[in-house]
Amino acid sequence: MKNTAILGALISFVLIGCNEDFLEELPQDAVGAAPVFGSESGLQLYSYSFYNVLPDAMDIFTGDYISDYGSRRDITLYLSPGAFSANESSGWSWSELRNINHFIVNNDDEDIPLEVRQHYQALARFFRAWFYFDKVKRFGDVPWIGEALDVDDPALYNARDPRTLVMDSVIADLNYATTYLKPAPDPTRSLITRNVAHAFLSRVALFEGTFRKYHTNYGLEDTSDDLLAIAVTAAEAVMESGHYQIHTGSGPAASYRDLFVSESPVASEVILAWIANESLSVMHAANWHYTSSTTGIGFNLTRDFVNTYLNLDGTPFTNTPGWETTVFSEEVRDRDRRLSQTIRTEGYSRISGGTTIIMPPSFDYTNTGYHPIKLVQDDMIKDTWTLTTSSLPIIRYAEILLNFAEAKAELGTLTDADWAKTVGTLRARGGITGGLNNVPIVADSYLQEYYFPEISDPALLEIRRERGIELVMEGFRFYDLVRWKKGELMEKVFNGIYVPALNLPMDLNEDGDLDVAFYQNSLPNEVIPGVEYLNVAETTEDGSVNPRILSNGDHGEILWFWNHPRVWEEKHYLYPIPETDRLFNPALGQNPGW
Amino acid sequence: MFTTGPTLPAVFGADPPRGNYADLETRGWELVLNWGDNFSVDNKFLNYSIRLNIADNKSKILKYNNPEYRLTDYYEGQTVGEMWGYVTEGFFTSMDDIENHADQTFIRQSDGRILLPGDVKFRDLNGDGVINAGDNTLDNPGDRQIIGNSLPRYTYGAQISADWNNFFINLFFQGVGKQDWYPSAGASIFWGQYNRTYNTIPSWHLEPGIIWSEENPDSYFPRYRGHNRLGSDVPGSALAPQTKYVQNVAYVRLKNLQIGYNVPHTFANKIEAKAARIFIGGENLWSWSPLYKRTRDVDPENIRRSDSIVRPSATYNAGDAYNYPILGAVTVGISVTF
Repeated sequence: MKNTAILGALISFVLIGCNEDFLEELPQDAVGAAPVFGSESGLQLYSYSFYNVLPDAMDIFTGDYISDYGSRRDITLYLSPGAFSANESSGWSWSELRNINHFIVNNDDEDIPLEVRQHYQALARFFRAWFYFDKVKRFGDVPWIGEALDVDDPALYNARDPRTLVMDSVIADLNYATTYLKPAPDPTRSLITRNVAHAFLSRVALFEGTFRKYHTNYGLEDTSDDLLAIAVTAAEAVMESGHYQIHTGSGPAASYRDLFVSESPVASEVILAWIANESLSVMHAANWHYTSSTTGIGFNLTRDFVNTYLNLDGTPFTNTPGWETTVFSEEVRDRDRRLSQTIRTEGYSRISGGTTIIMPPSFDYTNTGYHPIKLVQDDMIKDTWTLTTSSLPIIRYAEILLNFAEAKAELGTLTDADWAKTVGTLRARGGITGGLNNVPIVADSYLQEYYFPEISDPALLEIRRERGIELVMEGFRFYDLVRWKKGELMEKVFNGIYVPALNLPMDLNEDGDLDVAFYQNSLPNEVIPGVEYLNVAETTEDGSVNPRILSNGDHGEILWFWNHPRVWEEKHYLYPIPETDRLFNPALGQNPGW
Repeated sequence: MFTTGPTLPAVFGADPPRGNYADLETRGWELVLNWGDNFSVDNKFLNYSIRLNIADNKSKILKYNNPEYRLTDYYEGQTVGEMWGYVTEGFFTSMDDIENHADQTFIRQSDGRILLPGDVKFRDLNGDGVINAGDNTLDNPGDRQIIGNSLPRYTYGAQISADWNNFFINLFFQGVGKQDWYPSAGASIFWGQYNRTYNTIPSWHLEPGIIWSEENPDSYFPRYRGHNRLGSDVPGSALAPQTKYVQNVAYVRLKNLQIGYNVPHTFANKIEAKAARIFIGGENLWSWSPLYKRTRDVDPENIRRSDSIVRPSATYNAGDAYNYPILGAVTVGISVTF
C-alpha cells in the first residue's frame, strides 16, 4: 500500500515534469529556422550564401569571350549560322533565388532589432536584384517570384512577366537596399554595402534606360529618361560618398594594370571584388587562359578596336596620316598608356624563375598580334593551371564614372565639369594630356565609320570609346552592344596587325630581335632563327582553308577566321528559353525568332 | 514506393523532395529444382546433386503524379527500367542520302549541325519528316520508342556437387538471362574516342570493321567526329540511346568452384589427426556474355552503379564499369583437424 503511494507520487511527478519544451529537440546535424532567423549571427551566416550569385573569377575573365573586339580560335556557337538553338541554351537556373526568397520571407523575428533585420533584408533584396538583372539581360521577360514556392503551388507554371514589371521590382529592391544597408564602407571590398548598392543601381538603370531607348521596337522609349536619371543619381551617390577615387599611385604606365594583377583589391578604386587568397588556394586561371595555345579560346584584341586608343596628346590615332598602314611597333608608340597595360608592347617583360625577360607578342598564342596582358600576372609559373592570385574587380569606380557620363550624355545634360571628373580623369590616368576638361565638339569620324554611324553626339561617341577602352576584358562588352542595339558589330571579321610585305621579319617590341614574318605556301630560302614564320596563303599545305590571311593577299592587315561567318540577327538580343524548360511549362513561351 | 517526387519546373529552385510518391506492382515467379542421387562407380558410390533456381519479375508503376506522361519521370503504366531511344537505320551513305532523308539537324553531329556520310541515320518513326525527341512525353516521344530494359530478367543459378572415393567437386554458376545496357555519356571504357577525342582507344576499336571509313562503310561505329560526339543521354546528341548500340549484357559466370580430396581416416590417424582434406577453390574463374563479342573491357556484372541507394546522386558513381572490379581468386588449401 505504501509502495503504491510512492509509485503514484512518482508517476504524477513525472507527468507534471513533462512539458512541450522539454520534448522539443533541435536536430544536431542541421540548422533549423530558429537559430538562423533568431539571432544576428544567424542572419549574417545565412547571408554569406547569397554571395554565390556574384560572378566568380572565371565569369569575369571570360566575360568578353563573345564580343566584337576579341578574336578567338574556336567557333562562337551563339553566332554561327544554324548552330545555336533552344536546345543549346542554358542559364535557366533558379536555385539562388529560392535561397534568397526563403530568407526574405522568414526574416521577421521580432527579438532582433528592426534595423538589423532591415539591413539583412536589404542585403537579400540586393542579391535578388542582382539575380533578376542577370535573368532579364539574358532572357528579357521572366517570371517574377517573390517567395520560396511550395511543390504544389500553381505559380510554378506561371507565364513570364513583362520585363518592365521585373525591372521595376529590381529597382524597388535596389532602392530598399540603398536605404537600409549599413553605410559603413567595407575595407576588404568583398561585402555588400550601401555604396555597392548605389553603384550597382547605376549599372542596372543605365542598362535598362539605354536598352529601352535604342530598342524602339519595344515602344518603351518614354520610360528611358526616368531610368537614366536614376543612373545619374545613383552614380552621384557613389561619387559624393568620398570613399573612392581613380587609382593613380603607380603613375600612368602602371596604375591601370595594378587593378587587375594585385593580390588584394586596390581599395581606393575597387568597390566590390572577387578576392583571391593563395594560402586558402582560392585562385583562378586568367594567366592560363590568356597565354595557352590550347586552353581557353585564345582571346586577342582586334585592330579595329586598338585603333580607338587615343594618342597621348588626346588626338585620335586614326587622324594621323597613314595610320592604316602603320606597323605594330610604330602604332603603339605614344598612345594612351592603358594600351601598353592591356596588350604586349615595347618594354613588356615577365618573370621566369626569378629572372625578368622581355616578351614580344607571341604568335603561339595570339591570332591578331594584339596579345592581352591586362589580366595576366607577370610570374610565368602561374601560366599553367589555376594559379593566378589576383583579385578581380566586380564593380570599380571607373565604371561608375562612365555610367554617370553616359547617362548624362544620353539625357543631354553633360557639362564640362562632368566631363573633367569622369572621362577626363580616366584619360589623365592613362597619361593623356589633351581634351581632359571640355566636352568634345567634333564627332570622331573613325568611330562613326567603324562603330556607331547612327550616333552624331561627339560626347556620346567619346564616352563609348572610353567605356570600351577602360573596361575591356572585364565582361561588359556583350551587354553594352546589346543595350546599344549594336549586336551586328560582332559580325566583323577579326583583324590584326598590319603586315607591309611577305617574308619580311618584323621586330614587334623593338628589342633588337626579329619576332615574326609571314609567307605564302613555302618558307623563304633563308630562314632567320628565332623568327616565327606564319603561312598566310588561303589554303594550307594539306589543302584545308587557312584561317589566317592578309587583307590584300601579299600585304595588309591579318584577317583571322575570315572563313567562318558570324551572324547577328534581331533574335540574338535575347537568349532562347532552354527547350526542356519550355516543354515543361509551355506557358513560358519562346523568345521571338528562336 | 519511397522515391523522388515528380520533376518540377526549374523556377522551383531546388530538387524535388523525396517521399512516398509511387505505387509499384511487382509480379514474378521463382522455380527451384533439386535432384540428388547416387550410383556405383568402381564399387564406390558416386553421390551427386544438382540444384537449379531461376526467378523473374517485372515491375509496373501503378500510380505517379505525372499527368503529362513525361518520360523524364515515372508514369502510370511504365515498366520499370524501360529505355527510350531512336531506331538506327544505318549510316548515311552519301550527301544525296542525307538530303533525301528526314531532317536530322536536331541530332548534333558538329557545332554547325552539318551531316556527312558515315553519320548515324535514324528512322523517322512518326513520319513527320523531322528527327527529334518530340515533347519528351509518352504521347509524343518524337522518333523514339522503347528499345530495351535495363533491369535484369531471368536471374538464375546452378549448384552442382558430386563426391566419389573421397574426391569432391562443387560448382556454382550464376547469371542473368536477359538484360540491356546503354553505355552512358561518361562510359569512356566503351566509347573510347567517340566519347572524347583525347581518350585512349580501346584495342577492340582497332579491329577491322569497327571504325567507319569510306572503305569500310558497314562498320560498327559511325564516322569519327569532333568533340560533340559524347555518347550522351541527351536526346539531341549523336550517340544518344538508339537501337544499334544497345548492349546485351546477359551473362553466365562460374562464381565458385571447389575441388578437393578428403584424406582417409586411416592415413589421417597416422599423423594423429581426426580429419584432413586437401582442396583447390576458385571464384569468378570464367564467364560468358554476348557483350564479349564486342568487348571484354566491361564486365556485365559490373555495369550498374554500386551504391545507388546510399548515394543517389550519379556524381559519386555513374556505373558504366567504373566500379571496383570483380576479382577472380584461386585458393589452395590443406585443412587438418586434431
